[in-house]
Amino acid sequence: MKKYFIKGLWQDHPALRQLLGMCSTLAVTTTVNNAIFMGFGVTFVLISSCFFVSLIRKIVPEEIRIAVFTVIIATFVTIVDIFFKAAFPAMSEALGPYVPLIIVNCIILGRCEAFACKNPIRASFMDSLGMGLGYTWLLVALAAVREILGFGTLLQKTVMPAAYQPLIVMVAPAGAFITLGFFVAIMNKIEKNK
Amino acid sequence: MKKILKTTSVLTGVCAICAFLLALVSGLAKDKIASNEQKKIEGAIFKLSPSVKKTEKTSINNSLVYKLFDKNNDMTGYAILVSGNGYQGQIKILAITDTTFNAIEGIQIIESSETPGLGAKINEDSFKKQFKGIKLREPLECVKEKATKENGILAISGATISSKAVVSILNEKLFSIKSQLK
Repeated sequence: MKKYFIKGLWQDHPALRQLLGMCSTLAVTTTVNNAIFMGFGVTFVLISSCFFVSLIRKIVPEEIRIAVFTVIIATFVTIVDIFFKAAFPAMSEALGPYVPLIIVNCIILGRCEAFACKNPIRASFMDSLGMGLGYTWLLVALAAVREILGFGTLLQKTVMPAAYQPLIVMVAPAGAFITLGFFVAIMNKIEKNK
Repeated sequence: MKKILKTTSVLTGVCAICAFLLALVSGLAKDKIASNEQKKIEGAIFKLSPSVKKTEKTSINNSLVYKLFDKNNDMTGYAILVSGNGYQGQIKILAITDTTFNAIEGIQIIESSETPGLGAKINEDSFKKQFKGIKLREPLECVKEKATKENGILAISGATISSKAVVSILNEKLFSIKSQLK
């Protein structure tokens, strides 16, 4: 059971190894706050969708499985969107269209198709929890690098000395590609040396 | 035949359960979302005209209109919530005018889902401050070069549709409300 959980955090990391979910990874990681909310939003959708897909895996005919997955995923994404709007209006605004866009995050459809529809509920739960948290730590790590270098702050608090000149490029899209590139390179280097 | 029935019933069942869940959550959150928006509108009013101490809600032509009063209970103007279609989805704008609808005193974007980095720039001060002091004698105009006309609004480059949407929403709604008030 444990191995299903661990592999999402490192070995089969959804973003660093499978390179899935790139759009939101690049777009929302300008501040750590955004990354935390996005990460937990995706994790919630992932766990709930995989749970339901696994629950009904024996009664869903193969021909309509993608349609069923999409309806289930869209439902949970909309629930997250409504929840953010009601409980965290400021965050909902900062994340803008990226919360509803979790629907097309391929990590979720990917886990439903590759794992949850073939495995029992407990294994699917561990798998989706690992993948979700794996995605979340990457978002937070990327956002921390970008926020510190790009704004000189961490969680909105100034951490760099006053003389520090923020590198605007780090919060621009180019900074997202550069930082993610370094993360994937480090990952590959570590895996190669094993 | 059996297969068709099974496929249809499974998909229908899943959709029905999902619709039920969504209706439930949406019902629970409705009041909270409405009160969040209310707070946001009031926050925007006090930010745009700090002298306002009291507001009074009415409705004109299906638009939400607030009458604004200062600390001596004198009316200082109107705040009007107008909405219309942008490039992606709805744009909601709060516009503050003087008591006679002569000029706009400022606008604030309450809700928009325009393209991040392009259309979303309608939220930036450099765009919004162009509306400050614009006279409401003739319709506003969205221009692409330096705004030389009195009622010209310089469009955001790369986001002409969003800029035009803001201008046309204001034109359409403000003038109809102005004529209603007279």
